[in-house]
Amino acid sequence: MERSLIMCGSGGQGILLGGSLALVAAFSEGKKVTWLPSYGAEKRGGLSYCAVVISDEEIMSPVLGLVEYIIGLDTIGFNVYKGSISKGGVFIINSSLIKDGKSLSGCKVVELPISDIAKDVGSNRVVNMVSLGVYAALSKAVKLDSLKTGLEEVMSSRHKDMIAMNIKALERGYIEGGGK
Amino acid sequence: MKSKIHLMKGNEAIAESAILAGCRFYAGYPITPQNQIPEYMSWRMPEAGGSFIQAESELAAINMVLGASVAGARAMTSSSSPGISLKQEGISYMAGMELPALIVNMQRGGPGLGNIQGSQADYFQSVKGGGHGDYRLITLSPSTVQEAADLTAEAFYLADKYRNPVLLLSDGILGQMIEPVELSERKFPELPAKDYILDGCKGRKPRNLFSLMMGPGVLEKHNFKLAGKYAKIEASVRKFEKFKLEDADIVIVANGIIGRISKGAANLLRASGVKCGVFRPISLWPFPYSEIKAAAAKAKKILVVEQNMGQMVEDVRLAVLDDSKVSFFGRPGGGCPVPEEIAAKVREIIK
Repeated sequence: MERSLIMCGSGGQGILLGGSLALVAAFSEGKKVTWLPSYGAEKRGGLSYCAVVISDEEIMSPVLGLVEYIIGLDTIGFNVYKGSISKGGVFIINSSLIKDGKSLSGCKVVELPISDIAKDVGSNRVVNMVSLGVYAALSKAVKLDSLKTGLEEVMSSRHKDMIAMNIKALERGYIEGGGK
Repeated sequence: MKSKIHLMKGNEAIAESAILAGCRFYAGYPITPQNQIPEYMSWRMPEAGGSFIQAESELAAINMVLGASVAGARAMTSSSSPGISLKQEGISYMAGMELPALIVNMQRGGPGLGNIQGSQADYFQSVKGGGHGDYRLITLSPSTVQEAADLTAEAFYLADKYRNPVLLLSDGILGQMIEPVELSERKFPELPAKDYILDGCKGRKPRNLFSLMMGPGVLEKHNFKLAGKYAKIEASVRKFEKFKLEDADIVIVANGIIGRISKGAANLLRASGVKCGVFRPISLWPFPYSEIKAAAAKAKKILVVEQNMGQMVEDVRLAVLDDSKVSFFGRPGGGCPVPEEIAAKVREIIK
């Protein structure tokens, strides 16, 4: 079965890193994976997104039309991708910043104050990891343990001291998403 | 780097695969969306004992590659559409001088400076000329990161075998996306020693390499010789993938990244009972005319999908020779169709 995820928000929220972690974690579980980023003129505050596909079979399109799971971390991403959720898909919404999640229909909407949760964990910078924890709990497309293990690979060496907080953020998100 | 599966960007996989294939000279000038190739080469090429040069311009880069090839090195350059336009003079000279090299074009939207999104708008430029003169460029179009790596290695072999430049024609999506890729040193048949290179003539007769041939009939004779070589390449280098064609009523013809997206569309259509298959040309020159003709004979309709407003479709029409069968769907200027969109187009034409 092909699982698709778009993570979107604004530059600086760790969207590309978050998507890379989902990629690395699913790959470590023996899955086929693709990761397609936004690239080029993006900057802090501008639109940032990445598309991740996880599958047991050969992946055809890395470019996604209707998506099973979308993580919206900021209004700028939400506004661009709110029409891309598949029927019956799941939209994980950072209600700390996105106020009109209720406007979505035809999909499951999971509103959580992800920025506030991240601050509670220790820093607004781990907003990406909180959301990924939520995603892992809801989708079961990737295991929490694989995400935790994958951090070592995706975090640059100068941020290794941040790994502990990122693990806490993943775990907290996992619990907020109903995972046990 | 021993054979192992890595997660790599298409651009990085092309660069590493070139190194593993023995490429020891790279010259290029930065342009998005292919910058990871020179970035990777900037540290990896010196590590492998070769030369990396960030040239002062695209023109300089392609002429450095020409020079390195004259001296016998496995050489390459890479760029994206506007930069590839600038290299056309050098490519024509290399075709005339029969010099092997790899040129990588990670296409972006055009015309002009365009944008930085993936595109297939350089098809005509790649397979119908680009530079001046009566020459052909072996043009290979990958659809996955693995295939980009594999074709990069094969491109160097084909370039040396036929003494001809080879173009790897890909795009910004494949360059930027990450996918698992297995990299290893690939085995190709042994090639004869390069008996044409200029590496110092001490102890042997001097050689020369020209593309200027002013004597009466000399250039015509040279063009006939090139044409003979191109005919040989056309007879032996035909690459394509057939996807679920056996019982297909509808055949989508698409190359590169659009080829695999079209396979996704075919799967969607088959799930709802529409017998759709995909013919994916991998070598764009030589173009698999006869194979497409055969695939089309059994199908009711052909849909050509491209990230441009209709370029490869002209070759498909030449192959099928029945315009009533052939439809076209294109997204230009960096637009990229998704499987659902292509499937909807197919449903429209079979209504």
